[in-house]
Amino acid sequence: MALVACGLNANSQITPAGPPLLCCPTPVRDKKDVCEVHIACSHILWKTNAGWQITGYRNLDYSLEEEMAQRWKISMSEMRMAAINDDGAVVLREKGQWRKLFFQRDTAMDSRNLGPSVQQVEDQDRIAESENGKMYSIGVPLPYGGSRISVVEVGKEHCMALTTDGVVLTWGSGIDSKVEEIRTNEQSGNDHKASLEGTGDCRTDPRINKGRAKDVVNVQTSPRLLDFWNEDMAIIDVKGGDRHTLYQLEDGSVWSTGMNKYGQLGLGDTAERNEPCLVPVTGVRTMFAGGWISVFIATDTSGR
Amino acid sequence: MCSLPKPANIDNNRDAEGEILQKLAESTKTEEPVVGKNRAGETTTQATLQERAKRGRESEARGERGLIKRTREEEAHTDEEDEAKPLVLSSSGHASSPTGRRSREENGFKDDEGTTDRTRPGASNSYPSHFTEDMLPVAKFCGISLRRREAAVSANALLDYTWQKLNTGHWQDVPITWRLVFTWGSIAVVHILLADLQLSLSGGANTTQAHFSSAAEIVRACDRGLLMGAPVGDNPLHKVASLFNSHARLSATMADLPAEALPVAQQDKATVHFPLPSGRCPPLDRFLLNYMNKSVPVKLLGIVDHWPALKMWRIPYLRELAGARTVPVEVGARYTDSTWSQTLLTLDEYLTRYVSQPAAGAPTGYLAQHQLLDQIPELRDDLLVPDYCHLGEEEPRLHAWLGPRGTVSPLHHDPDHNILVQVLGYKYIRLYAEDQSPLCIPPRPLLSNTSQAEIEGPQADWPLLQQAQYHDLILAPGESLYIPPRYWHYVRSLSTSFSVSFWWR
Repeated sequence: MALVACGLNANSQITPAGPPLLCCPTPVRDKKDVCEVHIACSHILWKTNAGWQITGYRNLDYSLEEEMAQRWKISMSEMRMAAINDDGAVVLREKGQWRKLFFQRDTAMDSRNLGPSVQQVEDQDRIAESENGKMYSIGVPLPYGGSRISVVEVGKEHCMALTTDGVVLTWGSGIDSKVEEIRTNEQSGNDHKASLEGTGDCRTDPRINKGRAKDVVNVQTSPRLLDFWNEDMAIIDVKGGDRHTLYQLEDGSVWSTGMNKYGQLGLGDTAERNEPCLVPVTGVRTMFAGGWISVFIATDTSGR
Repeated sequence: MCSLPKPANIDNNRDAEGEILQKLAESTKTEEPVVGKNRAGETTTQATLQERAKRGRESEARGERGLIKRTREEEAHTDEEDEAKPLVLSSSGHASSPTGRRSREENGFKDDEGTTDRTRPGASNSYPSHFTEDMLPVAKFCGISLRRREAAVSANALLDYTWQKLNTGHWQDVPITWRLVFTWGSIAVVHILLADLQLSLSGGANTTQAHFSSAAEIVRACDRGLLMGAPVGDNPLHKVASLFNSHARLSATMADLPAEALPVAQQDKATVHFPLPSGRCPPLDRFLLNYMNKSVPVKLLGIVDHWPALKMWRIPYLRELAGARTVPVEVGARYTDSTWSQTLLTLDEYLTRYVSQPAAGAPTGYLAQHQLLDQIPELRDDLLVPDYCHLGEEEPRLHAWLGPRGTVSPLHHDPDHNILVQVLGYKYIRLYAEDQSPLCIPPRPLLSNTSQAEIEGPQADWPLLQQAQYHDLILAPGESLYIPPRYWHYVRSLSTSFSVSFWWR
């Protein structure tokens, strides 16, 4: 396994004692068998076979990793970390301790905890999805009388969910406050889902800022189909940082676009890109993006 | 905010001020006139340049201390502080970063582990040889110590993080603390840029053109901090921006437009059908009783006769004063159009592209409703707030409206009293009273104070509107208009125009 990363390193989150930013994918040497990565602006949470590890800014929370078990499902943002622990309870990290969250539920349902559900957290919002496909936002069930929810993602200003019917739901500010339904097929559903990791905020999506003046924020309130590659090429993964996007195609190539001020696109410089560009990494198995950082896990040991 | 330390070597750098000044002077003097356009007086005396750079650094230092002191006095500990901490701590102090080292050790990394990364080819210690505007200024100085680069990256990261916070949610809901952080972060970035410029001047490696680019970058960073930060008294960003404006302008090649020196005449036609009555300097009590209290608009004559602005505000003057400053421009025929957008330009670019030499068929660009007079306090010195504006309960707010002929503000009303002063050029204005509202066509869904009607559009399209009663007028330089609250008004410029509006309640 070869682990490479690029982007902001001012808090030594990628490599210790390295330059404050890395604009080429740089090997991360001291971690073995990393299988999962959560990235915030100032710190990174790595999951290895030996346990969890945090690099970067710690905010005086030094016992964090010891208190996290392997099987936990984690969701992390710059300010918050939440997890679903071994008991299936939702816990939130606050002031050096894990605090259990209690969600309201129908009296008709039983009183057990939510079970191993998908959970996402962002700075302002908390959301959880229960086994039977009900969604909860900060403890209040969200009304959607449709089919089961299979994926839910939380951004800084709005949330998206994908139902098993392939319907994408969005709600939040910037859109009319009701839950908006967008019909789409399963294929592109993947794109929508992955496009919301990170801020998920359409405003700062670099695709939208194509060709516009710098420093200008424009809003696109409904998903837009990208046609950069030809129709035969399938995109198997999309990851989003705060202001950049990574694409992984079925031929194994990895592309990046968006803000590049901290080298997060991995292209060897710090100029922003308005269109996806090929990243010089090979054999990438999985990739992660968050804040202003990109992380690639490759199988090939010669892949940079 | 209490925990933010100030950069360690502020006081050390005070001596180096002398250096910056000398080097700036020398490098500009020895350069041939081909560089930029050496406007008269640009390379004047060492004294001028010394003065400027010195004042820049001084006000920087003063302002930083003042801002930190002020923010310490405010609310002690907030969540926002915690959020900003990681980036702030790592950007504190150019000379040492003990926190950085400590955090590394605590993470279990020994310092020698990192060395191999540093020497690896391809690791980002060498930067490409051509630079785009987007690159961090730190990239230009590869030889500088690592600490300085770290500080620059961290300061920029703090600004970017804060910028993202400011762009999340509604602007009005953004806590003032984040805007203060943005101001402080901008001051830190500008401080670092100034230090880099000083170093580059003493190094002698860069060309004068590169120094002008650095000056432009400094001005841009100041303007970002001013536009999005919190309004802070004694803000050093103002001083620095105005000090470096003239050097910054030299970084962009701008052809002189001689037509701009000519007086502005009314170019477009407009017919006045129901002239609004006018009054010359009405006494304050008459104004309050007859116009403000009765919601009656009036054209005011002679109330700004003593404004220096009437003589001084011409396009070349604005360029010299603020050509390199960043301003927000509204692009599009009207703000009700779907293609309407906002963009940021330097004043030089805006005046050339949208005012003096607009391309045929290009959309209109309007520098509208911007607090230009706060951003560039020298302009505010050219005018005096009319006494009538102090007849309310709150201090009046000033906005500048600068644009070419043909800018249109669609029919709308505002909640405050308004005196619109025409300084340069001519405007046609039509007014409908509040009781004419039912005839003014229902407002648009998202803009409840704006009508959909096209005032000067085809009459057949807007039959209801034709029944409404109105007054209209043409405002010439030196003339003003009082608009009561909630009074509908429509404005079209008939020439290059510069107006100032005073809103109060």
